[in-house]
Amino acid sequence: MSGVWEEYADTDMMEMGFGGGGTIVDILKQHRLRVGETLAMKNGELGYYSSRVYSEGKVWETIIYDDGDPEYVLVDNPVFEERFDRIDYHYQTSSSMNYGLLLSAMDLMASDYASNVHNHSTYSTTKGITKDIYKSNGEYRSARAARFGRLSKFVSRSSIALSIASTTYAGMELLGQYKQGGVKGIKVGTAADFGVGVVGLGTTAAVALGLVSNPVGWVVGTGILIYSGVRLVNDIYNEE
Amino acid sequence: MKLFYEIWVDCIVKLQSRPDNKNSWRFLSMTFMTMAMALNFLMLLLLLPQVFKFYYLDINIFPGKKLDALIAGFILFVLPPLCLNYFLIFRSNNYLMLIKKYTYRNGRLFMLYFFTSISIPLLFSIIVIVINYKR
Repeated sequence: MSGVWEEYADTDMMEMGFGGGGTIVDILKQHRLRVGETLAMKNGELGYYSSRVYSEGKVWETIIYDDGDPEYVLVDNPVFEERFDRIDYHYQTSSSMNYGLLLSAMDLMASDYASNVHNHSTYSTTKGITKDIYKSNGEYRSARAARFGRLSKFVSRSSIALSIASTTYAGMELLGQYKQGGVKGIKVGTAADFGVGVVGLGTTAAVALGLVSNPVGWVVGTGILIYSGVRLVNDIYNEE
Repeated sequence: MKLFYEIWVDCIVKLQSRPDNKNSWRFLSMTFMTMAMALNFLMLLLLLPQVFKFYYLDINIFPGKKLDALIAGFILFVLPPLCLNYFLIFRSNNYLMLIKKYTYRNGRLFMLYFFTSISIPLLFSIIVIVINYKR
């Protein structure tokens, strides 16, 4: 296990269920972040990152340091994904690998958010394996997947509902204030609520259309919706 | 009406093309199109206040103002396009015939319509905030 990291073709990556292309380092990193592995400091180095791989008929725990030196430890009684059975990996080292800790931490946060809050297509099992929620025939994969699927659907739909609600009530208030005193009669808070609702709606649409496919977009969208929800509840309890 | 149907077809097919929307494309397409139309209608009311002087509803049922405004806003802005869209597009599965009849433009037409519809109100609210911020 030495030399240069191999570049895998897109089709290989798709077959492994990771999507996209890139080096196997990127793919492993994505996978471990997706299943919630911890990224940590070690001996003052930028960080390290571990991964479980299948090679030469055995399962190895791989620890990859940011300076590019990997360590391989044989795992006893391994639990690994079915797809690892089919493909024999050839993990090799890279001298060019250097992930910044900050960037990695941001990735991890966004990935955790996507895995636990706003991921509509996969879920993590208790053994840390990422699986698709749906089978190819559209059925839920398991009772756990069904729970994640329902939760995800609930979060997604309530986000849209809140977005519509905030746009509607702010729009109506805006119209009322405009009729009474023109543009100068509109309160800044009402205009802000309206703007935030519209942005929330736009973000939801961008996610649904695939224009914003990264978790950062979902974080922004959810933040906007929380603002709208708080404003609505605040108005009920503190009448002006 | 041709443009209206073309936008709808573009919206439906674009949303259907993404696996994530497999079970929700009806809800999403209805929501996006209805809200875009509602926002356009609201902007029209703001631009022509004298013409639509009669078009206002004052409800006072709930504590606070926002829930009342939500009900009134839903009745005035959201309900009309919602009914229109339902009867023209989804009733009797009309969209199946429309998809066959009109060309799909890879979602560009719908995106142009939707994002233009939300940009104008957004710009308006930014202008209002800038003008009234110091007052």
